[in-house]
Amino acid sequence: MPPSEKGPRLSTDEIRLIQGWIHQGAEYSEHWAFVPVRRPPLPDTARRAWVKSPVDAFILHQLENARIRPAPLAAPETLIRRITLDLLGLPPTPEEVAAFVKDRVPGAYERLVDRLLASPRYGERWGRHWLDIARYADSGGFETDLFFAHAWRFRDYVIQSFNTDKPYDQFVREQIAGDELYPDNREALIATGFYTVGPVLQESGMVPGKLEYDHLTDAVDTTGSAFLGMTLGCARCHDHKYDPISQKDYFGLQAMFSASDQFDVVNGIRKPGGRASLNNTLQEHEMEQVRLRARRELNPTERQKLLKQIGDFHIRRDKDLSRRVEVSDRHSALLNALDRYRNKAAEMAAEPLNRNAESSSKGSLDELLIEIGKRTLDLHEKESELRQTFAKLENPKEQRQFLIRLGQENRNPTKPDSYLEDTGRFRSEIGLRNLDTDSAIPVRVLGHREKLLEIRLLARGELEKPGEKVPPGFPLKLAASLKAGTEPNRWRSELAHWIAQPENPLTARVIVNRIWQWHFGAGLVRTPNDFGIRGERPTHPELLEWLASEFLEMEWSLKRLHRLILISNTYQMASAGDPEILASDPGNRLFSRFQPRRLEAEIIWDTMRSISGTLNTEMGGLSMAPPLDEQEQIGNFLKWPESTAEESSRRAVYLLIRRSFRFPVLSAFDLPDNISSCGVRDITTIPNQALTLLNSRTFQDQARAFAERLLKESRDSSYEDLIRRMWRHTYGRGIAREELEQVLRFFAESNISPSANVSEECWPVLENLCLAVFNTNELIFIQ
Amino acid sequence: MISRRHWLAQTGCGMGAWALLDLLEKDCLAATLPASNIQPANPLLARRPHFSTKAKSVIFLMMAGGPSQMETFDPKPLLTQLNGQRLPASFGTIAAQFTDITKQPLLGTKMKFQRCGQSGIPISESFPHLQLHADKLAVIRSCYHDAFNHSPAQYVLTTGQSRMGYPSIGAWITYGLGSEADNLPAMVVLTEPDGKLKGGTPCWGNGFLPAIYQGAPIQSQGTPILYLDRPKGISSVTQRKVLDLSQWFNQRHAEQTLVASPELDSRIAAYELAFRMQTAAPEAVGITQESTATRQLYGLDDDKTRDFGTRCLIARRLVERGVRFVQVISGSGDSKDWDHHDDAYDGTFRQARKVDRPIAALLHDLDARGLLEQTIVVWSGEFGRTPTSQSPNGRDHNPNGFTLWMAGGGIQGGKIIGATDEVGLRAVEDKVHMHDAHATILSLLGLDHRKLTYLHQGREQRLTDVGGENDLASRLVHA
Repeated sequence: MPPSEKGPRLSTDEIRLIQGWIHQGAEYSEHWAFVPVRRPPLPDTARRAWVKSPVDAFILHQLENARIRPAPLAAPETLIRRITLDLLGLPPTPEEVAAFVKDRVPGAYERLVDRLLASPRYGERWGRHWLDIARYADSGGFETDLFFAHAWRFRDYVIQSFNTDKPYDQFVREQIAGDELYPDNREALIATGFYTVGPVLQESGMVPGKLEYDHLTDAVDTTGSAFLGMTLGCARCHDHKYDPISQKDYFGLQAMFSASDQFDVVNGIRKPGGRASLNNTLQEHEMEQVRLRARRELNPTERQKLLKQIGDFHIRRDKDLSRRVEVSDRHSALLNALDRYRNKAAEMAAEPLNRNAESSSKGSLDELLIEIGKRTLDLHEKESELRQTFAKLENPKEQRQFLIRLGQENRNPTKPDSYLEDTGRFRSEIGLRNLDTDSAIPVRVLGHREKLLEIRLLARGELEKPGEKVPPGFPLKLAASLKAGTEPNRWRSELAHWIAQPENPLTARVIVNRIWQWHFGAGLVRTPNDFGIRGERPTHPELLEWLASEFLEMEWSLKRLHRLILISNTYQMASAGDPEILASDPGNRLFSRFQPRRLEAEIIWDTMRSISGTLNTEMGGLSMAPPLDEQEQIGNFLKWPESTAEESSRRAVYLLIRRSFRFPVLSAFDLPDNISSCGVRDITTIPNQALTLLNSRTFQDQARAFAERLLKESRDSSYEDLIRRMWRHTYGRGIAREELEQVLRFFAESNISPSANVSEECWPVLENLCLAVFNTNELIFIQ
Repeated sequence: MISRRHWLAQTGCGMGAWALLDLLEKDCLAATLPASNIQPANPLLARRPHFSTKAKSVIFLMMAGGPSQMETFDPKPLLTQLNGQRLPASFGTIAAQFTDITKQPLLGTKMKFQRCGQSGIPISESFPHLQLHADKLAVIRSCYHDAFNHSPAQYVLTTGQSRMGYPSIGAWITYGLGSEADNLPAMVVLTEPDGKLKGGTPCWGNGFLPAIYQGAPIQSQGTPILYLDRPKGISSVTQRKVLDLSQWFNQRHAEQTLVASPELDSRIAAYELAFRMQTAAPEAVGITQESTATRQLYGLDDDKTRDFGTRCLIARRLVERGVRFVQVISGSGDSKDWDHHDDAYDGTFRQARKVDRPIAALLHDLDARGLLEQTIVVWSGEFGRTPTSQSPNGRDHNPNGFTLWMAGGGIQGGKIIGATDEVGLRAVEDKVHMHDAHATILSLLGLDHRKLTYLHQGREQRLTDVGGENDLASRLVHA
């Protein structure tokens, strides 16, 4: 009974309920997610013909139990659109739709699935899902928002891993302990970037142990959420209230990371000292941006400019070089002033003038002498006698006289050592020399520190309240415990093996559920980052078990798992439901139909660009920072390393993600917060989304580009043809009669005759029509 | 038979083990979520609070950078006496950002304080206009938390947590109460014209709450809301046509597909709201409609006070139109505004000069319009400052003791709550953690901070985490 001061007592009903349970034997079983995966038999169903994949048997079984008929299959146009958006994050082209609809050879759909899974666009789409889980960002957040020039390498690693169908267990092992397990494999090193793209509070570096504690906390919380689907964070401050994780277990897991630190590796050389998370690498990013541009620039003048910038970057980092360039520039400035003085003097000698003019010329000669004096001073060290003497002069008149005298005395200056006549050329030469060298951007990896961190249990999770020492260990008493005597530089390997083993009851279940969720919009367990006791129970426990065991048999192949799910009739159902079904299964928890869902922020970006024909499909590399106007920059405290228009037209997975400043164009569309692992993105509807799509420059530009595309493709044809074409591009289907009439009315209102041939005159109307279409639900929902 | 889980489900929550039963009270039985009475199609629909109170909205005056309590609302005569001496060892030490307070001399203040109004609350000469409103204020001198740098402290002030990722108090309140404003965002943020703040957008973010509850930054100049302006060359009539066409497709699509998706419906509604906002938002910030007298009252005729005065005046117009929470920010957290590392006296004077008259005007104007009773005005920095000096006339950060005041919303003013020690180093009497201050604000609005919860990462999260026990509301509303 709870102590009475803790609140109300149990009610009589509650006590009766407990009594009932005790009378029935007080049966207690382990939580479902903590017992090993068991493969259940396929259930029996009445409508066997509907069962196309074992997945269907489980879904149909529960539908039949609830006396609900599954929805009919979706039309082919709907289906190809759905699956293309789902797997690639892009709409199908009109040609792809036409080919699929026409394909009557059996297996057309399966071939479509295989074609899409083989597309490199697949990794960009599904990698982005994983980046949500990995709380990926390109900066550390908070006030200083330290720039992570290295982060994109991890992003590309994720994309590549999906594209090559890297077995999931290996994917897990590489991220947790790639450095320990595969030390010679650069990709596996980059994989540990999983732990170096998290938030960093720079100020923590000033308090002993705080930065390390922040990182340990982030590592454990993210590991728990991402791989195990467990919210371990609760146990940092107290024993977990619901799940069998004590505070000691929690710190035991922190101890697993206590031998590790973050290191920057540049050109294969690991920088000593660790604590790499405190390095701000914005300059390296900007440098790389310029190098890429210089390599592509064809215009010689522009190229020279870029080369100089590259040169400057290297000169800035080299004290001697910077000094040399600086001194040369100053000497050149002095020579320049001397030239002007001589010219002026010669001019005066050639044209003797009246007294007044002479005195003013004398004035300007003095000014030039002062300039020569100043520039002479500039060439001396701050500590030099000359400068010290000058600094002592307080009277402006004295200062003037001093400078004039200095100017007169120094009309034949000696060239400084290693004087560069043309520093501009020197800068671009250095730039050219460094154009194709290895990138200065580090690979930021987990490595091992010289001295282990001492991990103590912290009362209430507060660093100031250390308790007993805690040895490394696994968090849940699910499988084996850490072998005694394991070397500290193998701790993470052991953790990785413990997580990525078939016997771990959570790992396979958690990823299988995520994949299901990303296909259907809702998981079989609707709390994908919480498989603990507080999480929701699976709606289809048997199906989850079956999928998990099948996934293990398929040797953790995600692409095979996709296929298994995608070829089911469950996936191919229509989204329309008859009212009776909607009433009996309003939340679609039984998957009686396909649940439509709004596209994610990035996919909206990609889709608009794809339709308007402006998508640059270049893969990988530096993150892009599309130009922002003044209003969009409001709230941005730090530099936005602007990309060019071409660089900015890539897929949104390549957008620069600054933790302290959300990309404004997409910020209304429920981007994840990147602070902790995000298992489910919110899908909210707010008026700012409408304002963005209606008024932002980004989408205006896309509407204009789409109008241009349509005009170009519809030369010499009628408006009706143009509109039909438009429908194929946007919705991947033919236009209905009444839609066509509505659009033609829209044209007619602007005095454009629909029967006429397309002409440039229709310009603003067409652009508005494109914008109207961009704002429709059909475009922005997967259905 | 009754399974254990079934039993747990019946008692209202899924629980782990018997030993944890004492937690039922805290986490489950008391949890009456507003989430259950939120309409998916209109999540901002105004909702009844947990209990009935006078306050309906909040204007949160955030002084970014950390004003000094000793120069404003917390006079410390002993400190001035001890000027130049070392901090007596009995006061202990704190973690300050740049300086070690045991090594720095104490810095007295030149600031003169005046006992103001009937209540005699001391307010420094840097706030001459506010002095006239002392009897409206409840001055809480014993605030504290443990984040000693700007961003984390700004997060504590606004979200209760020093890490990013938590909902701001305004988001929690709009989540709890919805909004009375049909054509405006429920929560509005008014920053400095350059929009800069050290803590950035998380200071008014929705954290893990749905995005609809995030604060909308509104600009006092130019376009008030991002993307509110129609593109050049597109008239309202043209845009209406575009929208009508788009909505026609949406309606047809909904009928044709028979898809049961509240999102589809709410999206149609959101477009209409967006269209109305394009008229309503510029109207709401349209201070040119105010009388010359009012504009003068807020200091719009003075270069020093114009910016902050404009924001205060807009804040009044917004609460008048039913906006639930307005966050008005002074400064960004920089030394040129409230972060006085090198000139506590001059700096306070300089910065208070910008906000004093507008704040006094706001209190007066709200009162005159009968709005003060239903509007809580809160004033606070993210922390206070040290009694010891820095370089050499400034003060370092100090979250261990600082002043926050509130007015309106049913508060009986003229009160001082709590106290710092004799030099103002830390709160010692009637300590008010930021969680307590947040609990108090919620309470004044009729929200029980223990019941205003949201399930995230397996836990019913609260604005006040596990704190908020020192809820001052009932003491504030009674004389």
